[in-house]
Amino acid sequence: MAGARATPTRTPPRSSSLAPRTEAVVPSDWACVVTTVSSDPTPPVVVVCGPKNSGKSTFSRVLLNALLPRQATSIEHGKVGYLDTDVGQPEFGPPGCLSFHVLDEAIADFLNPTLREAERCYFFGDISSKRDPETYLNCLFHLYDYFVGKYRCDENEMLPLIVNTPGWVKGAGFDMLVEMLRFICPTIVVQIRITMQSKNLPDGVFWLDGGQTGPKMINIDAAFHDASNRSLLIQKDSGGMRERRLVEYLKQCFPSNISLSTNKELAHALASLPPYQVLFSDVTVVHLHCEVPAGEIWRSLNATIVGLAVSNASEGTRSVPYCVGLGIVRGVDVQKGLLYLITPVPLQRLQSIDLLQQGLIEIPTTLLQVRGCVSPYMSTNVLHKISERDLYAG
Amino acid sequence: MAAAEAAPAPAPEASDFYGGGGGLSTGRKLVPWSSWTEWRFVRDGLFSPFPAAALRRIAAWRSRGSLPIPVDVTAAFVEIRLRDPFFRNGLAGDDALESEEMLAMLYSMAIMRLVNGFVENPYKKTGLSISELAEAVGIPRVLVDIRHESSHRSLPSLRLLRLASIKAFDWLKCIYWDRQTNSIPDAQAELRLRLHEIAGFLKENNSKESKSGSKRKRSEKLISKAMKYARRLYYAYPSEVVSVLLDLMELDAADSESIDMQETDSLAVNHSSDIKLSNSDMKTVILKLSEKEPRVLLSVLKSVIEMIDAKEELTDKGEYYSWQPVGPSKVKRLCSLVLWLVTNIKELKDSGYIGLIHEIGVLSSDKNAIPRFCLAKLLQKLLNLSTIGERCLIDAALLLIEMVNDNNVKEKLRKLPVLCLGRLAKSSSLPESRTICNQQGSDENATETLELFKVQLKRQKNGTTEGSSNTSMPEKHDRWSVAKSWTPCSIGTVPCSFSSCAVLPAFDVISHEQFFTLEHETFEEVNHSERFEPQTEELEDESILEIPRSSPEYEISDVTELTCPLKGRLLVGGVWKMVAEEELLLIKSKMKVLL
Repeated sequence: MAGARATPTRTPPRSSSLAPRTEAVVPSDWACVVTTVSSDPTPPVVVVCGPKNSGKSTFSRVLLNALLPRQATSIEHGKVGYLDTDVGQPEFGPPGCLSFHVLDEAIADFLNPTLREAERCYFFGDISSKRDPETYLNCLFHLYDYFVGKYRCDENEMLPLIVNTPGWVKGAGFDMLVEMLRFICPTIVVQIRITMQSKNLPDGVFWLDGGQTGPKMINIDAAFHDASNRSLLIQKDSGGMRERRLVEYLKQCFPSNISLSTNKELAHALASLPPYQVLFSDVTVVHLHCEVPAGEIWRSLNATIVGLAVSNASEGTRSVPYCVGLGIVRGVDVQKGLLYLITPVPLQRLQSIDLLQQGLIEIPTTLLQVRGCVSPYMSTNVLHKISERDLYAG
Repeated sequence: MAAAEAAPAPAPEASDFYGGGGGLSTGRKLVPWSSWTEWRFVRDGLFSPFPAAALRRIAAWRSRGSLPIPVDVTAAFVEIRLRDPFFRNGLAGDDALESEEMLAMLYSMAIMRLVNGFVENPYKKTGLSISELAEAVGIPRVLVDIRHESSHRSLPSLRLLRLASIKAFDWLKCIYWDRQTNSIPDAQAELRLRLHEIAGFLKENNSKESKSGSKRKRSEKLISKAMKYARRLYYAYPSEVVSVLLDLMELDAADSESIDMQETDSLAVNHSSDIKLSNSDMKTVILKLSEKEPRVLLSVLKSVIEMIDAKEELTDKGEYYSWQPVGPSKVKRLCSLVLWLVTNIKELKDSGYIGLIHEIGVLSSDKNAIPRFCLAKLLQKLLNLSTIGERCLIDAALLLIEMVNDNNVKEKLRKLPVLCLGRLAKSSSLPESRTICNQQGSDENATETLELFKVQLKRQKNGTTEGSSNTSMPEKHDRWSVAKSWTPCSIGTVPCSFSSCAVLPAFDVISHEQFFTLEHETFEEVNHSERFEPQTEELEDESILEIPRSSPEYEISDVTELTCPLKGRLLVGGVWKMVAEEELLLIKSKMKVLL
C-alpha cells in the first residue's frame, strides 16, 4: 500500500520513517515556493493546478503542513481550509465527493493521508466531473461560497485556503478549470509543469482576459525526475486507490479497537453489522446520473453505494442538498417497505437525512465476496466480453 | 456429464466458458442482476414483441454500473427499432421517429458502440487493426465498415443501416445471449448428478462393508470430492440446492409411512437407469454437508417450515377436501423432518459446530455462530403453525426451547394445553384436569395476566420489530434506527424473518400487499411474534375449541365434545377460568389498545 503512490516528497521531520521509495527529496524550488506562500502576510487562497499525476496533491499536503504552524503561533485559529475538488481521488474523503475541510492537524503520512470528516460536502456521484460539468461547478461554487461566508468575512479571522484541482487540464476539463479560477479569484496560483509541454496548462494567467490584474502566479516543476532530469508523471493505479479509499471509509463503521486488517475481515464484519433501517416513505431516492423507472428503484439501489444527503429545502430552491456521508444499501425489504443501510455516519446525524443519492460509485467487489457470504451480485459463469484466446484462435 | 461438456464444443467460442459444460466457474464477476432468473427475464423480454419491461430493467441495471456491453448495445438496438416505423410495420406511434437522418444517426452510433465495445480494449493491448480484431471476434464485416464510414465519411443510408442492425442484433444474440444462456450453470442438475454419484458410492461402501482397503478409501475420497462440489454449489445457489435436497427426499410419496425405512434397493428396481437416493441417504448427505456448513440445516428447516405453511394456507383457503387425501401424510413427513433437523441442529450445537451466542459480534469470523434470537424466532414460527398439534413439531419446539434455554417461555408453553394435547394425542383424550375451571380464580387475576402479556408483548415488539417504532411514536419521529435482531447475511440480501438464512429480497410486490404492511404493520408484528395472540384472538369469537386447528389427530367428535366446557372460559396461567361476557369485552378492548 505504501508503494502505491510513489510520490517523492521531502521527508517531514515528524515522519522520518517513510519507506525507502519515497525518500526522494522535495525539489528546492518546491520548498522555496512553500515558504513564499506560507509567509504571505494575509492568509492566502491558493489554487494548485497542473496535469494529472504531476504531484498536485503532494504539493498541497506539503503546503498544508507549512501553513498550519504559522497559524498556530499567531492569534488566529491554527486552522487551514482545504477545498477538495478532485472527485476521482479526493484527499480526505471517499470518492465521488466534493468537500470542504477545516484542518488543524498536520498530515503525518504523506502517502496515505487519513480520512478526515468534511465540514461541508456534496456528493457528485461519479469519479470524473465530465459526467455533468454544470452540476460539478455548481457544487464547487457552493462550497466556496460556504467558505467565504464562514471564514473570510471577518478580516481578523481569515482562514487560508488550499484548493486542490483535478488533473483534467485539456478540453472540457480546461474550461471547467477556467470557470473555477474565475469564480474563486485566488490570491496565489501554483502551477505544476512537466517537461512534456503539450500536457501542461498554458503559461501565465490563462483564465483571465488581457488587461485584468491576476494573482501571484508561481510555476514549479513536477517533483519526479528521470535520469536525464526531466519532470515526469507518476503512474498510479487510481482504480485501486479509490477502492482502498472506500474500504478505509467503511472501516469507520466499526470501533477502532476492532482489527480489520484484511478486506476479508472487513467484508465479514460488514455482512454481520446490524444495519440502519429506514422506511421507504421517509427518504427520497435521487439518481444523479441516469433515469430509473419508478418500479425499478429498489432493484437499482440494492447493494450499491449511495450518498446520504439533506435536502435542506428551507435554504431555497437553488441550494444543492449537502451530503453527510456515504453508505451501502445492504438490503431492501419491499414487503415491509424498509431499506437497510450500512454507513459510518452516527445514528444521530442520520436522522436529518432524507435523500439517498445514487451515483455511479462502484462498490468494491472485495467486500462482496467472502466465502459463505457471497453477494448475489457476484455471479459465477459470467461470459467474458472477449478473451485472448478468441483473438488468436482465428 | 460428458455430454454436457461436449455441447458447447464449437471452438473458439468454447474458450469463453470458465468452467466448461455448465459447471460452476471459480471466478466471480460483479453483475447488475441479482440472479440468472432476472437475466433470463430480460433476455426473453428483449427478444419478444413487448420489450418495454426488459428495457426498464436494463435502465435499472445501468444505474448500478457494471452493465456488460452486449446488454447495453442490444438494448440500444431494441429501443431504436421501437422508434423506427420500418420495424413497427408502418404503424406510426407517438414516439416513432420520422426523421430518417436521426434514425440513421441512432443506428450508426449503436453500431459504432458495438464494434468499439468489443474491440477497443484488445486494440490498445495488441496493436492489431480494428478490422483484424473484429474478424477474430467474428463481428460481421458490414458493421466494421459502417463504424468507419459513419465516423470518418458520410452517414450510411438508412436502408443499409437497418439491414446491418438486423445483422448486429442476430450476432449479439448468438455471441452473447445464446452463449451466456448455455454457460449458466444448472445448479439443480449439477447437484442431482453429484448426489447420485454420492449415493452410488455410499451403496458401494455399504455392500463392501466387510471388505476394507484401498477401494473403500477411494470411494470415500470420491464422496468427499463430490461433497465439496455440492458445498460449492450451496454457496453459490443456496435456495436451488435446498430445493433439490428436499425434492429428492420424496416428501410427496404417498405410499410408505415410515420414510426412514425406505431402502435404496427397493426403489432402484423401479428406476433401473439411475440410482435413486433413499431418504436415509439424503439425510446422510445433508449431515455431511452440515459438517462444514452447519447453516445448511437451517436453510432446509426454513424451506420445510415454509412448505408446511403453504400447505396450511391451502387448507385455510377452503381447499380442505382436495388436500385431505395426500395432505396428512405429507405434512407428517414434513413434521418429522422438522424434528430430525432440529435434533441435528441440537447435536451440532452440543458438539460445538454451531455456537449459540447472545448478540452477533461485529467481527464474527465464526460464521457458524447463531444468535439465540434466531432460534427464538424459529420457535415462534413453529408455534404459529396450526399443525403444531403434530407430535414431531412439539418435540422439535421443545428441543428448540431447550436450546434457547428460556425457562420463562418453557414454563408458559408447558401450561398451554396445545402442547399437552399433542403429547397425549395418542390416547386422544384431553387432560381434563387442565380444563376443570377454577371458579375461585378472580378475574382480577386474569387482567393481571393480561397486563403481563402486554408487557411481554411490548418487550417482544421492541426485540423484533422492524420499523414499527416509527408508527407507534408519531410525535417523536425517528427516521432512522438500528435494525433489531439482525443476522449476518451477504450484502444485497436480507435475513429471512424466521430463520437466520439470507434471502434475496423480493422486489416485485403486489401493491395492495405493500399497502397492507404499511397500514397494519404493528398488527402483523404482533401476530408473528406472539404465540399467545391467536389464543386471545380466538377468544374474541369464542371459538377456543379450534386451537388445534388442522391437527389431523383429532376426531371431529372429540372436538364437539369439548365445545361446551371451554365456552366462556379464559386460559389464565394454564387454567381455564370462567369469564363473564363483559369482562371478555374489557379484556378485548385492552387487547385493542395493545394492538
